[in-house]
Amino acid sequence: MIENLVRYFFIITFLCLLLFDALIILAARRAAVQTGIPITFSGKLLIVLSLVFLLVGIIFSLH
Amino acid sequence: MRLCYYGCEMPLQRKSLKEFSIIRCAEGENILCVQRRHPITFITSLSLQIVAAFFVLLSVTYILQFISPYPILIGYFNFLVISTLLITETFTLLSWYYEFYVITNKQLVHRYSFRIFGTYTESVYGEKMHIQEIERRSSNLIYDFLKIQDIYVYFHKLERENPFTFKTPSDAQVVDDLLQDLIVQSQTSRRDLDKYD
Repeated sequence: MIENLVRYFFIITFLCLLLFDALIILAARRAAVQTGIPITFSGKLLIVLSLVFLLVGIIFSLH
Repeated sequence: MRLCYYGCEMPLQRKSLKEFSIIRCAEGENILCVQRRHPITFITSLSLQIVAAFFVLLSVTYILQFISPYPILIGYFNFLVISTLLITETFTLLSWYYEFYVITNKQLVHRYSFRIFGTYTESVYGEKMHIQEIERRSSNLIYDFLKIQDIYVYFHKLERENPFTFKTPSDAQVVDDLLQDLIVQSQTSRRDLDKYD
């Protein structure tokens, strides 16, 4: 019972973080289009790293 | 002339911020200066986030060793903390990267293009408002030592009660010089108008 609760807690938390990350990506794309300034390499790297960590976390939580 | 680097073409010169279409200019309006906030502002907040995440990681790992019968829980918490740290760092970096202070010959603009909801722009039209005073202040000793200053532009109280603030621009001296030039220009143009009257 407790194990399932903890697992669901992690899944929901990772999903919420994934949603927030998606909002950040959309806002960054909008800013890049509006200003004409492309996203910096370090910004892209951080976005990719955060997505990777979140997806791995969700996959591990599901199993 | 373009350089070839690992099979990709790269422009020889980097574009300055003025060349990007951050704001739309009216007829006869020229962009004089575009600055971001000083990089030290986001470096300090990134560093604080890393320190806080490191502290949380260590304390959670230490506490869960004694409380939890499942060692894998420590791994999950660490993953969660690192993911949260990466997201907050991304948000901080992009917030700094897409925040601009723009000075044209007609207006002062604070543009915050990276927002989750909408775009934030604060504009002050220099032709319609009279600058009373320009004040430069450092918020702490370290910024004072590094010559990182906030610039407060005060207008007539009846026109605008609160000052227009340039918060830690990357070069406060350039901003101050441009504002002084704008004041002189507006005074000259007002004197010319009075002569015709």
